[in-house]
Amino acid sequence: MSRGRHGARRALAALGDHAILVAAALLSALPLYLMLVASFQRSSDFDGVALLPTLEPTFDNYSTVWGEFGFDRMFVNSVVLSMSAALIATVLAAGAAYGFTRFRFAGRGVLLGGLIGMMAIPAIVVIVPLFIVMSDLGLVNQHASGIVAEAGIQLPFAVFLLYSYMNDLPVELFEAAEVDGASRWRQFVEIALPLSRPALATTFVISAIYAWNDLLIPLVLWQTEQLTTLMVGLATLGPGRTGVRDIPLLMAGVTISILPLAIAFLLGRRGLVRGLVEGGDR
Amino acid sequence: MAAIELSEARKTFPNGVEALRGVDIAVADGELLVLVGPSGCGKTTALRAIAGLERLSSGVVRIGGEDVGDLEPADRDVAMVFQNYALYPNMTVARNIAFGLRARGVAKEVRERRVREIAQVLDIDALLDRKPRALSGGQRQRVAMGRAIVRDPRAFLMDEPLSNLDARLRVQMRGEIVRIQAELRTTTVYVTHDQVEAMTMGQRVAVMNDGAVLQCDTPQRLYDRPASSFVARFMGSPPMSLLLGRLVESGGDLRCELGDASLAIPAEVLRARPSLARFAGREVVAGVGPDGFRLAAPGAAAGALTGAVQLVEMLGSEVLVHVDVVAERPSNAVAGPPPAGGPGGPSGARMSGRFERGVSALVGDRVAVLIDPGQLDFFDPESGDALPREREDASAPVRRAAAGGGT
Repeated sequence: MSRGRHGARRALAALGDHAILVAAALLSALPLYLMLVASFQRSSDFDGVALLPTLEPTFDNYSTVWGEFGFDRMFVNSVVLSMSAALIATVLAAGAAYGFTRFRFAGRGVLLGGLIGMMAIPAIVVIVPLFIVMSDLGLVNQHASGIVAEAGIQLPFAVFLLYSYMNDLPVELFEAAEVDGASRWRQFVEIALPLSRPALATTFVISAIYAWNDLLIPLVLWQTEQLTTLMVGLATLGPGRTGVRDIPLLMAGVTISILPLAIAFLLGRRGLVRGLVEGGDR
Repeated sequence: MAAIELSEARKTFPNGVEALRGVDIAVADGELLVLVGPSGCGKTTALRAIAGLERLSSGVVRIGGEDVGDLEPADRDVAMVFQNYALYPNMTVARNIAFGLRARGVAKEVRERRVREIAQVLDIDALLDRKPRALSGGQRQRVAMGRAIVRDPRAFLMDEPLSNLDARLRVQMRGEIVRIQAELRTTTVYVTHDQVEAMTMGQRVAVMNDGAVLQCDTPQRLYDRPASSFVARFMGSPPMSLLLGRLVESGGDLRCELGDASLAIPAEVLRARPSLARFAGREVVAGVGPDGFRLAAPGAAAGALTGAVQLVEMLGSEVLVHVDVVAERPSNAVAGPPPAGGPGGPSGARMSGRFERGVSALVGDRVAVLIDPGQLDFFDPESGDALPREREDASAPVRRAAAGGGT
């Protein structure tokens, strides 16, 4: 009998837990839902946010945004920016993290601490000097400026993530390789990198998401129309700039801009979480 | 293949820990030498210093007569087997074994042929395409051995390679390592904390404690003639029992008084150890091996120690009996920490003996302990050093057991 009561209490507790989780999930999904609903409404019909989908959905907003407003080009720019920046940040951070875990050199602690401390500095603080430097180098409105700056902003976090992962890899593996006659480079390529795959993937994805969502750097360093990214384009679609309050159009633009991330996250969710919560010592 | 030599090796870690305090070890070409000692005694540090994974603070490492102190591990041409095997989890067994060959630029055909040969020797040819995580502990152990053997290095360095295996597998691999080593005749330094492993595997065994080698000798001599009380109570299962006694001279005879027993020291013991005479009238530590005493009913014989049976261990063919006796226990520095389960006897002196099955002893029994005086060993009660024997081999490196005893 006591067992039954115990079971009932556990079921009740589980029910409570799930109720909280479901509520939280609904709360975070609601804006996305409203966004989707609004994006299929005709601008002329739109009067405030609707809870139920319209009975006469239209794809006009999408085709307008994609074709007339140049979201097709912006989409490509965003892909180029986020992929290149994430790739550069991940590659450089992998080398740096390996160096910090496997080499002992003077100033190592200061360098590592300083690098990780830079995570606390927001991009807005460095954007003016960054612009001046890029301008002096003649790189403003060139692909290189945005990509290099974005990669640089990501680097501290990327190093931090990869360092904590690589630092947990069993040191005996590297000692065994050393006795076996493997160079540091071979140890990096054949042991450290393959074993850090989950962390490398996580670093790449997080950097890519950050670069994709970033407004500041492309806004300042990529000022030509040819280099406008989705986020910059969205900002120009917003009410304040054009004076037009075309919410359905804006929602269609927002949907386009978050769709790739949502799909990528759904596909790589498991691996992403593993790289974040696990060390390399498994 | 090459001889290995550590001389006056010292290592102090940045945190101030002195892991090696002047270690001298000489391993002959083709020899299997075991470094044994309690954890923290410096045996692994000594091994890592030979491998080059640890730089000595001072002293010399020679491999094949060449001073390798400034060489990287890769350039010392030794192979190491780690306690947790350190197999590369991202590579197949075949790639694991071939890794060292690839790193040294050996041609592909040669690599593949060598890997196949080694896999056959170790009976792992069916596993070559598997990843380490799909292997059992014993199989991983073999792969780790294969990785060491395949390179045909000048020496094998093994750091407790069997300690992660279950007892049965451990015994089997013990034999296999000895067999392979004997076949290849590759100089081997083998580190273990298990004295049974040390005794059964080593051609010679170096007992270490507190960063120093206490005695380096054949297993038989270590057991028969321990250089110090530390070695005496480290080697053997059960090890020698140590009691504090007093040597007295009466009518030209030397007697050893232990508790309420008084044993006449036979003339041949005195001849073998003339230094005993100098201890007349002084305290000594008497060592009694596990086969050095009998049990009898209380009061059955004169000159017996009285005691109570503390523990009886049935091993099938033989029985181990542990008896708390009425006698003094030497200081902890000499005799080590008191026996587990608290001091049962008045001063915690305990004797452990090996008997044929059928011995009648039950826990709690009062017994008389009859020591064979011909098998007594003697140690200095302060330093723990064995009292010198005649024609003691003076060249054997003998060091004082450090004060503080077993760590």
